[in-house]
Amino acid sequence: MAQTVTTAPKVYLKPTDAQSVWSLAWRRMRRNKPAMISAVIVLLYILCGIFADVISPHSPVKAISGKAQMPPFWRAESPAGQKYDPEFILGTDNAGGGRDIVSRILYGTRSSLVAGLLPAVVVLLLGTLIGFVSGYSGGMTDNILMRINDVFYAIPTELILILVTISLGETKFGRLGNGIWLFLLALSSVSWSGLARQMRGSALALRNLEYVDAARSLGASDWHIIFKHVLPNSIGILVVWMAFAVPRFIIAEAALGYIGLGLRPSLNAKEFFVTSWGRLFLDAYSTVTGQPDYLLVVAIVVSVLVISFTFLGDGLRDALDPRMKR
Amino acid sequence: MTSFLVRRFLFFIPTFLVISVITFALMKAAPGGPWDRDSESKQVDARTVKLLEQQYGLNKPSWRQFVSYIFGDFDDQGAFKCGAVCGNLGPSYRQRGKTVQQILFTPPAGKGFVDSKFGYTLRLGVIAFGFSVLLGIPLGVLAALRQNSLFDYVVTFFTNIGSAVPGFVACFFAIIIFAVTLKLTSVTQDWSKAGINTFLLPGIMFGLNTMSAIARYMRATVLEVMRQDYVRTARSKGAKESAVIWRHILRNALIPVITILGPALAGLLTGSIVIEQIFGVPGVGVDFIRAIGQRDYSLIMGTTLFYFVLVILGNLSVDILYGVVDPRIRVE
Repeated sequence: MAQTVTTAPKVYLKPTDAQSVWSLAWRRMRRNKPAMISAVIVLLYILCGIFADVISPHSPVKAISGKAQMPPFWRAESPAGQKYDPEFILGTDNAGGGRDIVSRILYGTRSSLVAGLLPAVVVLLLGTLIGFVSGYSGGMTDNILMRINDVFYAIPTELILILVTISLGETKFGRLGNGIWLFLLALSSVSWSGLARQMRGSALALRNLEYVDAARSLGASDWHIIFKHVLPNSIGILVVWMAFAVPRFIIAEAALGYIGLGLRPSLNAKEFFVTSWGRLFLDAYSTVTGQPDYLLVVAIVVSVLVISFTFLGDGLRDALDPRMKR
Repeated sequence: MTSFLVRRFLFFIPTFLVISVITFALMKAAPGGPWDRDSESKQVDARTVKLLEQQYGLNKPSWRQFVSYIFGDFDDQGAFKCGAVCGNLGPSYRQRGKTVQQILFTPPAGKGFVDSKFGYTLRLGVIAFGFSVLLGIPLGVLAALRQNSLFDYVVTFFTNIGSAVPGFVACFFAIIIFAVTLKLTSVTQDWSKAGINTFLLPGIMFGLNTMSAIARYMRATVLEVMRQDYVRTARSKGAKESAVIWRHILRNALIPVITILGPALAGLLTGSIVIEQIFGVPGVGVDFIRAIGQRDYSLIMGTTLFYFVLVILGNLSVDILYGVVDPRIRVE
């Protein structure tokens, strides 16, 4: 018996028709002009930081004698009578001779970005872990972790940060890696509590959802549920948190640097931390009456990055969670 | 409410102890002691150091030093001397003959309390706070009432930037503009004769972040309240627009904002270390930084504990204020 099979024309859904959360978010993000411009600016800063040694026109540490306190490009002549030299676009500072400000800012960008990103990653891991464990396990563990959290939440941050960096600054640990490890320790120990609270809340909310119950009834382990179900649902929060945390930490370094703490500058251009934005503030503020342009340039450089991060964070929040849109 | 306050107070005790232990451990971890590495005054010889350590109890084991500082200890005559819990922050190790509470709170001879170390910090914080509240709340309300107007856009834009740019960077901009370029004020001021004018620039710049945050929060709350049913009801009853705004919108929108004011004030009182350094304000912050460098243990400890209590009181005020301004909320 001949069989005639008539097949209905199949409708194939191309994979591109299905839209993931991320592609939807990216679509919303692309429409947000301030956020996109900010993203480009942040990327430029990161590139400047990575390639600081390649693009710096001069050595950031070598003072050129007779070239101190040169004016920036918008002034033909500095108050001290130095003529503008196109070789030093933003002028030079005063350290026995002159050091090229562009190069110093580029190297400072590198250290300040590391000082912002490294603690952010550490706090992200620490806060997420503690928050998840606390919210997911509940009971006694939750209670203990949250009481510890309460203590850290009540700590006067600025004070403890200064206290830690000064007390341990002269120890072996404090000198390690130009002070970045001490800075990392001090900053992450006072910063993890907020995120841990947030992640605990999100773990609590997700813990009792049907699909998590379903996974559990299928025999999934706790870690499996945390990594496959709870974590992916919290990525949005974490991304937005990062965008706001990095500039906050950069500012913390700059504030500490300004009072002479934080990263230790090295006189060796081969080392990683030649200077940081905090040190630049310190240098520039000491000569503010004679050379206000230096401080102005540093303040603008820092502000532009911080504002960009804020707009980027707002954009990311709107894109990743439309319900949170203001 | 009472049981809630009691519980909050009981929680305060372990938190206080943890903070004290952390502070104490950090101080002790710092290399060197209060009587060495001093470039400012003459060096102390070994015998004197020994006597000094005996006098200040630094020869006792660390835990004993800690306990006697926080709770108190018996002196040689066997009389009990109460510690930090009674507000006795101990004698300063470096400023001889002065206790920590004297350094922080006692003004120089013939001056009022506002001229003490904490008086300066207090004035700076209060001016910053006043500026934040008096400007932030009206700006936020007006921007919300005229949503999507040019005024709203301008306020939103500037408060966005005002809360993004860190306070001390804003100070640098202000100094460049007002002190160096326009010469309206000088970079280093005479703080011994400080009046409201002297405090104006540091106070406003210090309050900028808080002002922007309050304005943004206020705007968001007013927008939310405006969309509530009871506001629509009031309008449909024919209530006058001014009555709707004052009685229905503002009164309800102020509730969440009032509650953030306590922590905001605490933050402004304890967060001025860098700002004080920039403007040279002779407040607690500058002394604190010097004290750490000199290992003046009791001054470090005393300042930290005092600031910590301020932060706790600020946070506690949220819970109390919530209960007072909004009868719907009952604190359990």
